[in-house]
Amino acid sequence: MITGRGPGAPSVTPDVVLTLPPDARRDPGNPAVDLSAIRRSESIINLLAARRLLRPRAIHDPAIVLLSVLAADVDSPDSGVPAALAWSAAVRAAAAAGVAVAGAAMVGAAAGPAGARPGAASAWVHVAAVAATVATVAGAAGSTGFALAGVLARLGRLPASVRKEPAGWGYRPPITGRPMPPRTRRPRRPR
Amino acid sequence: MRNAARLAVPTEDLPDGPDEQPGPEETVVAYLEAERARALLARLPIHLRELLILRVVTGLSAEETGNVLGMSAGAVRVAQHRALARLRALAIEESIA
Repeated sequence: MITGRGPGAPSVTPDVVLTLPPDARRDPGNPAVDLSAIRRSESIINLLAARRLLRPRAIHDPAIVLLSVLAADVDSPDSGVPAALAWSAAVRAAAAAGVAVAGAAMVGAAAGPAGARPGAASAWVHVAAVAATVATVAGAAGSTGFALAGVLARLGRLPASVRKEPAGWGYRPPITGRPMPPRTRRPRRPR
Repeated sequence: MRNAARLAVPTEDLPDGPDEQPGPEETVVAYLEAERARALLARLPIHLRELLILRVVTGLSAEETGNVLGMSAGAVRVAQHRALARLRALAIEESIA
């Protein structure tokens, strides 16, 4: 005999009160709170990153408004970020490869927009300098490796007195015939 | 003298359309808002700040940001949600104060 109804699903039963763990209540951004909120944040940040959030103030979220203002300020032509696109493409490629050096460059970049306003241009120049340094170091490493390979190839060769290479490979045949007379000093003319 | 003042002075062609650039007031408002955004962003912990800048300003994806910061893409998504919540709380706290 059925005497009563069960509690039912928590989402449709109004009497059930969901209680959050104490840590979740203290931290408003705790991921244990709501998985859909994480997805919402992800989608909004993707829109902000693609600069496709046309009316951020319509969301009535101060964090979204702040981030959109920051992105608009960085994108403005007088923000001193003329080379940001090229730099971003380079760092994106490095980030896709998981290069640790790019991480350092990115940390330097993080100080750029977050830094003081008058130093925004210098900060981005600093970022460009870091990226250029990374590229220079990579190029120097490549050329150094090439030169080192040449040196090792030279070291791997046997001495000239031991090796017997065929003609046409830089081998100079020994001079046969009458040896050269020893050098003598020319007598001075009498004055 | 009077006739000389009435002479037509040739000038360059005037622009056809209106100026779409922001005016002085809009420029100042945008500057102040950006200042406030930077000040609030500076109050975030350094790892959350870097993550938000990489994701929003630079435009890296969650996977690319994870590669840079040494995190998984899922950890990046959770951390960016925390950063947004923290930034929201800071903005509300500042507006109340």
